[in-house]
Amino acid sequence: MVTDEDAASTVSETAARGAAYAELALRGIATLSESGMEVVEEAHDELLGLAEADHDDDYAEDEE
Amino acid sequence: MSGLNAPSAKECEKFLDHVDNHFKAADIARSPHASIDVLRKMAVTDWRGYTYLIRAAIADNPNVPEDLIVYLMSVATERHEWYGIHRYWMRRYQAVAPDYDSSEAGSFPFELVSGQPLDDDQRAKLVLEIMGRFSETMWHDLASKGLLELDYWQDHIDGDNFGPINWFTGVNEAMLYRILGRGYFTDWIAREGHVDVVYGLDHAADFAEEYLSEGEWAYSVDEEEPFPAGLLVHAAALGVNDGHLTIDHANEDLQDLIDNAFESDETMFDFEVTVTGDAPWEGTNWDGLAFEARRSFIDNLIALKDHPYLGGWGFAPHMLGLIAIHPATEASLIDRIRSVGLVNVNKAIDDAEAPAA
Repeated sequence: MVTDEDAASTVSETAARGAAYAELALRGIATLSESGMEVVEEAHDELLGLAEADHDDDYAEDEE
Repeated sequence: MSGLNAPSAKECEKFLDHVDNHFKAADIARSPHASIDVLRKMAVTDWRGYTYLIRAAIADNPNVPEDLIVYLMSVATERHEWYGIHRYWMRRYQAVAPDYDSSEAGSFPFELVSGQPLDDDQRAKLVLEIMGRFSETMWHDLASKGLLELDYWQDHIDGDNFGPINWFTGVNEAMLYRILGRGYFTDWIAREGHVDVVYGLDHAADFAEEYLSEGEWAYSVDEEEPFPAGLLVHAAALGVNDGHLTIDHANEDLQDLIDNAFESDETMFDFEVTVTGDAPWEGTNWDGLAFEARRSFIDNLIALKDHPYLGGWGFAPHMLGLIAIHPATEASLIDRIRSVGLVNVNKAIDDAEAPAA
């Protein structure tokens, strides 16, 4: 169950799936197909975007 | 139920008109005023999901005839019925239930090992009283020697099950686990559980949508937090279904991942059982019994092979199988058991005698 407090740091299903796929592949448990790779790339873009947004927020707070 | 509070004979005769709930039906089934005809009708009535409870109550009726019990045995499918039937036979022979908590309990009854003649009722009573402790002592002994594999599985509704994998009977093994085993209360074993990898992934695939709807996917994006095992396993299951990935079932980390994902649901675990404690009751130790005493005990078990309960439901054959594969049992006694012609017992003897591959 996601609380309001958690919601800000959560991701879409696709991003979570893609991140999980990547983790499974890294551990040698899974081999990704082409469509699986696409999910991972999509997840990567979303997670990268979130990380950059976090960084921008931190920078803005420091400036203030 | 006492006779004073039990439904009257008239109520019992009209049960089909009167009964509108299974509690009332069970009261009637147990009533000492119920006629045998009423019990017979109740035994074949469909009680819409409560048939097993009514049949168990019939088995508890003090006047239930033996042929009706034999019928109930032929249709029994779950533990209430099995326990009710077991209580009938205990009552029938005035057998005393063993006190498993007493370390004093469990010696071989003198009458069973002394060679003295016994009538069928005496023999059945004594075997009923000793069969649980004798079987468990043999399980401990044979498993300690690496000659018997033990099984344990959890059941939060009916209670845990413990016993050997091979019962040498070919009859209802689920019932044998209930009547002969003590499940959770067995204190001389340790168990290590794992979820079967294929079963775990199948289970995750079946419940992935539910997992999704509960928001479990929305994990925290914190690189320092380890990935939740549940998320990885459900993603793996869905990924296989959607053609996104293939799983290496031989991967060493996969087992840990699946065990962690389902750690809160032990009903999914298969347990490897090892013997860690002492024998539960030294008094039923087969090694300590003299040859003549062993022969007498075996002959009494053989004499019960056609008993509807002790033979038909596999208790005597199970004990004979345990004895037959025990390394201390003399060859002439094994031949004696083999001559009875119990197919599954003889197969166990053949397997025990076969040279290791």
